Amino acid sequence: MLEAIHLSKTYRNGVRALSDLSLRVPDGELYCLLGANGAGKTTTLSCFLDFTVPTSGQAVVDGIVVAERPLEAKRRCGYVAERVAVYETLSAVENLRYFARLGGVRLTRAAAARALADAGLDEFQQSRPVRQYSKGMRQKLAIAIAISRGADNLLLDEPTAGLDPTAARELMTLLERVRADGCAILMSTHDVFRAARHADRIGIMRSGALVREFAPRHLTRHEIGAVYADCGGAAVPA
Amino acid sequence: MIWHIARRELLEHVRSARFLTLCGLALLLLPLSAHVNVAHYRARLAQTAELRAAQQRRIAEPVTESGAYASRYGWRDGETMADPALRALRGPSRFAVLAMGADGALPAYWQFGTEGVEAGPAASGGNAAEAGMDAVFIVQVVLGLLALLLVFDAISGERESGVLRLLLAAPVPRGDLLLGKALGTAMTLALPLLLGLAGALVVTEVQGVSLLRDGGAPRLTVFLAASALYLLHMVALGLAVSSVTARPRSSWVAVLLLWIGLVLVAPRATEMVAATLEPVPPAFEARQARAAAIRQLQAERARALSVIWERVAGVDTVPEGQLPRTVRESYRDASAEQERIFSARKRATIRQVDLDRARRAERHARLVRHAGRFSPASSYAALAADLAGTGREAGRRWLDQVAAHQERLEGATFDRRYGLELFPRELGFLRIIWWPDLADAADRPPGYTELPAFAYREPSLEAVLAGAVPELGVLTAGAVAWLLVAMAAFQRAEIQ
Repeated sequence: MLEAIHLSKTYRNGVRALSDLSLRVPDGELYCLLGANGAGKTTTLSCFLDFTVPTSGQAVVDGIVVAERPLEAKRRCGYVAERVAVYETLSAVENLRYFARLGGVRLTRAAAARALADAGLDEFQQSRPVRQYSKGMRQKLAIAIAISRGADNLLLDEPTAGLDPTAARELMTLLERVRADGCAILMSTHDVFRAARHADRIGIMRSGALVREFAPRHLTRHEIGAVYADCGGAAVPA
Repeated sequence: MIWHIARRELLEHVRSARFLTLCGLALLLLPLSAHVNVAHYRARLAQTAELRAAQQRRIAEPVTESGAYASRYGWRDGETMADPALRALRGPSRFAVLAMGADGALPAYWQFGTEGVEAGPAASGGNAAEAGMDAVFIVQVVLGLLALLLVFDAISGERESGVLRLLLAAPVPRGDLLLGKALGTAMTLALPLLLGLAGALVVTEVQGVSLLRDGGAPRLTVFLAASALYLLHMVALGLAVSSVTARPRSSWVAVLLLWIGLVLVAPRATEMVAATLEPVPPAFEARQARAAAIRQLQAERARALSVIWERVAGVDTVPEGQLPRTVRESYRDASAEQERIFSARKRATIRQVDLDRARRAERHARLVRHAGRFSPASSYAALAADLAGTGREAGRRWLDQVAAHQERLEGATFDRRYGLELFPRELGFLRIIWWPDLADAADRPPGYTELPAFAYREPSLEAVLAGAVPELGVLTAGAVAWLLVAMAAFQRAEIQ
């Protein structure tokens, strides 16, 4: 379970990125954070990963306060960045084995290959250096890395950005499978429709604060788009 | 976990173009420099052998006239006679093949004499080629640059590419990540260092100059450790730069400037600063000052001895022919006290001149050494040269032993009186000498073989290591300090 309790963050350069943000993502739930660029979505995720220390408030992972026990908290989280960056000269298998080991899991070559196949990378793709990968393939590798350590919580930073519709659909299917296993997923995104279709709850952020939070199943896609535009997000085409 | 990170760093580095290029360069240059320096070493051996042969010839020359003892007759108007038999010969250190240090700049010999010690010409004889490349230079410059190139983007590059986010999302302490990177880079650098030095050793062995035999192995081990420590220092420096800079381009500019400053400029700049703040007067100035002081003393001595002669002989004229033994003995007895006083004054004068210069040289050397400690390259060069026996410490040790031997020779012959010197007033201060009687063992100076022989005592490895402790400490402290800077900056860094 992921929980933000009155999180505030002001960077050293004076930029206020978060302002008294509170949210909760229970196990088995997909929570989508929507908001314009600079709304504070990435900073929220960063607080859960100890990339940045909140000025006040707490980020809590499975009852563990991140700022107090960052390593234990991180042990319970998988992470997919917006721009997937791994070691370019290594293959997917080598990258997965390396990052899984950093997460405390030793994967055999065969186990790594299976995990990558589950994430949608076939055997030929697995053995190529990552520098030859498309963005979609990189995202699949990142998902495989994120779930390789069997963490109960997943943090994704705009994972569908730049993906073609097929790749985005495959990614969301993969996330649904992970959610079904009881994983708490917090995902930042600009993709309103995909959020509306797959999320259990949606939070809309503006200027570092959570301005709306709702369950999308109660609203039509059009209504969600209107709410998003109302809250300062980009206008959503009808 | 540190080992896991280090292993990946190693694999990444050894496949990189920068590693392959500079490693190849080091692997080429290390054996090549050893090959060239073996030739210098052989030339120096030949030079020493020639000087030794001249010394032996001189010692073996039969003494047929008392004038042959001229080099040991007390007063020489400030000039030491160039007697090849009375020299401390400094042979080359075989480790100069790896670390030339000051081997070429130190004298090939020191001349003992009645007027003190004179340094002979520099061992290199002004051969500019000897100021070329050695293993120390290659480690300092090429591998030092490689160390910086391997780590300058270790943090800033991964921050810009985004890999750092994924790394820091893992439950690994940031310190472990940094240490893993440092260890991986150190292991990478060990490859060219070990292989290059092994190549150099093979070259020297093939050419008949063994650096491993006769207690060489421990010295080589310490030399290797010192080189590794220097490279570790550079790795830590590069990591610190990478941690405090935001972008790899800034890191690259910073490490390049640091490399130029610390490796290329600082060692020469410290010499320049020391030469300005603590100049050492040239040897010929000291020689002139010494000669002038001795000439003045000689004049005083002549006046004092002419008075004694008048008192003993009752005349102020020069006698014809050999003096009767009784007159000689009376004059010698009467002048003994004055001679002793003047000898003591002469020694004190010489020592004062030499001491003044030695003190200034010492202050100069200390300044160079202390200022050099700001540059790991200078510290490493000083350390390596000391370990090889070609550094300033070795020079100081030679000077100490030469000075001690000069004192032994002064007691044994230089300050003793042989024959007679008269300074009759009628002739002004012209000196008249009666040579000693060769048949009289009590009258003539001792033969060369009767004098104490000079033998340089090599310091033990323990003593060399004890002398190397400050530089080792400076390099270690520097490496730790830079690593702490990197650690502090990396720990505090916020990933936005």
